Amino acid sequence: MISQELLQSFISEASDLLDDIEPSLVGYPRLEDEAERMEVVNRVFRHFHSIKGSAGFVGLHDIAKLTHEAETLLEQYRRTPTRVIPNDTIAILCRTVDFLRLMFTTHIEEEGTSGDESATVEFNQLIDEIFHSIRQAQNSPERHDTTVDISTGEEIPEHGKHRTGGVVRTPPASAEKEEKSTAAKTTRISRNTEIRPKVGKKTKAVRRSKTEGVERQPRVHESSDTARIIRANNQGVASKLNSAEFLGRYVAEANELLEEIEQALLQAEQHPELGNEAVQEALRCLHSFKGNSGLMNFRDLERLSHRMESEVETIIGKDIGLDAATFDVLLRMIDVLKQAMADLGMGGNGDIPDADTYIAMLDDSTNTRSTATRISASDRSSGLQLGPGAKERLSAPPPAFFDDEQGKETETSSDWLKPRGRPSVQENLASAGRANRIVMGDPNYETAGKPVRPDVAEPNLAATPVRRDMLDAREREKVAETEFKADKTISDPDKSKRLSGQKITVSPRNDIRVDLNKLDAMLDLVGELIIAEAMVTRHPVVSDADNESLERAVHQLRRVANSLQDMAMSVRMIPLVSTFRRMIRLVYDLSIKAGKQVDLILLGEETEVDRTVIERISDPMVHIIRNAIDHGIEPPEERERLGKPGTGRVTIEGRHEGGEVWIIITDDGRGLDRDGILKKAIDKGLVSGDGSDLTDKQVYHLIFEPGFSTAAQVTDISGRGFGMDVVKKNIEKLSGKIDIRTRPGEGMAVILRIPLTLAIIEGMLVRAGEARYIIPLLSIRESLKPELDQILHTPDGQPIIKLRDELIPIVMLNEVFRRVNIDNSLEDGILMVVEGEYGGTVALFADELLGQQETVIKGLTGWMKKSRGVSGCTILGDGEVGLILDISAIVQLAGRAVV
Amino acid sequence: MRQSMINDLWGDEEEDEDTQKDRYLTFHLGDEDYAIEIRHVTEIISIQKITGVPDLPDFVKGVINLRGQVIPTIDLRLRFGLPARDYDERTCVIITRMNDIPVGVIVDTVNEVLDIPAENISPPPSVQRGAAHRFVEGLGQMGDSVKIILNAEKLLHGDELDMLESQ
Repeated sequence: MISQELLQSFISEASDLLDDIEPSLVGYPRLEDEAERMEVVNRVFRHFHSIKGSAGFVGLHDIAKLTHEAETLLEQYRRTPTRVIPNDTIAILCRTVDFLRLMFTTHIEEEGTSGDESATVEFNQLIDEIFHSIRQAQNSPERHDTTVDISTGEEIPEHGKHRTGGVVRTPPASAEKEEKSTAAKTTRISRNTEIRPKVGKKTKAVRRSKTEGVERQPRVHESSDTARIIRANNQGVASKLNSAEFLGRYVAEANELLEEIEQALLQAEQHPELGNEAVQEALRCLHSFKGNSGLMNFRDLERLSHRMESEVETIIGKDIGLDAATFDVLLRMIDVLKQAMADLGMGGNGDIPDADTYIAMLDDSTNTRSTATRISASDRSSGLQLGPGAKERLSAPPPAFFDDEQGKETETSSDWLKPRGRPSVQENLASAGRANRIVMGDPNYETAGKPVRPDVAEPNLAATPVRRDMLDAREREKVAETEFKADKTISDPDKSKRLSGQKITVSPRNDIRVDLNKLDAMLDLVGELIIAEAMVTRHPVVSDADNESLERAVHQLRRVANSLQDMAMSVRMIPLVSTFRRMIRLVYDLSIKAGKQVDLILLGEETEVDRTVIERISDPMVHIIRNAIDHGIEPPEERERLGKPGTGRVTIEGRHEGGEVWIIITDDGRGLDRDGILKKAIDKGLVSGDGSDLTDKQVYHLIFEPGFSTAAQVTDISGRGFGMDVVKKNIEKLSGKIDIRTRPGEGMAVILRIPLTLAIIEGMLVRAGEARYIIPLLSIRESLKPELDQILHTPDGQPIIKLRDELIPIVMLNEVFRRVNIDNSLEDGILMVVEGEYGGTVALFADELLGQQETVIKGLTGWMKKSRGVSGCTILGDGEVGLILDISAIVQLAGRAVV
Repeated sequence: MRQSMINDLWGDEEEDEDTQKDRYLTFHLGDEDYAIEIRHVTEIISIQKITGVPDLPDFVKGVINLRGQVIPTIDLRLRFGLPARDYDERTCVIITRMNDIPVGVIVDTVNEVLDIPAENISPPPSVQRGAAHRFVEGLGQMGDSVKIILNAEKLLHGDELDMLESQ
């Protein structure tokens, strides 16, 4: 069984990639510029590729299959930049993304088995559609480079020429099994893809040729694509990647990798008897290092590590062991790389000024070695000095080296790929006991899409022997291909500006993954510590003691406890970015459904909020956006008539505002229609009278009533009137508030105001009889000592206070809650004017105001939660439990809600 | 919760289920002795200040603070429909934990921990009267005395409490 941890990390990583793919796809049709379009295609392609690679690695062949096909589809457009992906193809890709997400959830739930029958059907359908699109793309007249003749099933593989020196692998044994399940499919594949006459009749061979033909191509360009994308980042065109953060991660991981390479080499040197294992470890790390450097576009780092990689690989390939000279050179190179990393950390640009010299050194070392093996003895310089070979190379331009080297390297690669009878990836996976129900995996999946994201715990992957094996096989295939890729990359004349063009000072960032439960447990303990601290420092013995040093100690304790608390809270904070990005797709889908044109603007994605908020905020946002697009934004014709731009605009903004996080969703549509809402509300009996006494705010909040809808007809987007109810409920759970601002004809803004943290609230401590309650400060409008002449009584004895021009009903806490006594009469007590979430203002009457304090919220467990009017509790300074009042519920309980 | 929290952080202590088999905590309430399976009991504390929580049935007295943890507490006399009695220094709160939810149970006095072998336990009487019948799981005979064995699940989480939850 595949390790759950591995699967989890794959899924979380792949989901991140999907989160990026989605907005990219959705944004694609709007792009005017060819270069920008290419960037998007390349990025999406790369992401699919990464997912495919990792999926193959963890044994999820169905996912690998699907992403592979998506990749193939994109490949059609990658090759000819002039072509634009048609909308239906984008839609298919979007569905692919959806389906992948579905698969992820299934895999989480069922631990690696594929979904049910319907999922299989959907899967096949998707694959079919993708094939269809691929065929369309191939048939499209714009494609000049390949002649396609479907009737004969022959296609001249344009990219076949890229295949150097026959990297031929024997199909693994497990392919036989897959053969059966995919027999039907194979025939179709053979119609769609290029078939080389020689092998045309053998399905296995067809599949291989397909994989290689299609897959090889992308790798060739991968690095240069990356370069382009990073440049784009720099200019802030396409992506909003935080380059500083990215760079920090990269540096941290690179340093770790370098350490590992060094360790591995040292081990290989000291224990040659252990064989190649350590060297292979080094190779893996080097490869990751190279990949990351390439992604970050640090060309020199990439080149040097690439060269080192070839060196190490030759050692493995020829099985000659690590000789002292090579060892020295490699260590030296690692120092160089470390130096470069340090430089990067200090804000350098990652350039290695003498990169060519170092590469030459390596060349020289290679020569030395080959000479040594042939002539047994050699008086030539050991690697650290520049041998004659190196000097020659110094004068040669860098690309020459690679051209020179290419033949040799490819040979080496195929050498060790072929004969040694090492288990293939598939065999390894199969032997690890992984079976999927949808086994359509192409036996020749090339898993070069090793996760490039820096936060993947690579060392972890190599932890157990089984995985090590798998990696070995993987690495090899990969190396063979990356050689190829890198060659092309280096000779790419388009030497790009690099990220490091701007000086970004980063310190290496060290991340660890922590189990959420542990984190929560720790945060709970911190909460308890704060309570304990309060209990000690406010204990009469301590607070009344007249002792200066004790006082200082108490002060110190309080300060440390508070910093600890702040720190603990910040740990839970997560930026809104992924939540916001998810809305891109939503807006896209909705605008198509509603037949409206909508631009989405995201602001303040980096705003950090509590994890719980992230979990709960998504649904409300979806409903508000649905409403905005369905009801708010007018159809294009109407907009034009009104003199508005034909394309509507929805803005989602996140920002900190005082102790709250505000998520503001704005549209420039119709706005709310006070009269329309009132009329509807009166019809529904929600408002008595003509409603003219209601404030705008009260009227607008009517839309949060369940079942309230002004929509004349129910569309499949919205109109049933329960969406806003969901919004209200969810925001209530977050103890937040909703503000609505609107101007008829100009649009509206919904402001979700959520307390910064859910673990602590600012509250007012009040006493009612023996009980003490905390009233959240957010709910309190004002508190006052009433004068008798301000108070009047209705015939049934309901007291009402006249406050300025407002008449506010007074609620005695003991009327709402049984078992609560109030000692004071009205004029002796205190009144707190509190406001429920959705209209409804009452004045709560309590005996005494005990003060304002920060309170650590504790939930009520089990059936205690059902107590209405209480949202939680806290431990008071003297160790007693204080209840936190749920003002909205109390307003409702008191039956005073105006609406 | 506290214990599990600590377990999470610093490794785990496994409870040995076997040693708890057939062991009951007995306590006194009104005129009778009652018994509850020891595996549900985490500790016994003396009565302390209880904060009343509104909007819950009368037998739910409120919440207490047990070293930072807020524990809902029920009065077993009220739960059984017996007349209320003032708390004194012998009044105890038995802290139980079931399904990871702690609940305090107020009883008159706590007696001892007893081994009551399964063969000594007879089914509850078939004659039913009163509200408390449904909490009785069996009657355990120890020599001359009879302990009324309670069903902790129903006692702490059943019936009215269930209805509360589904509100």
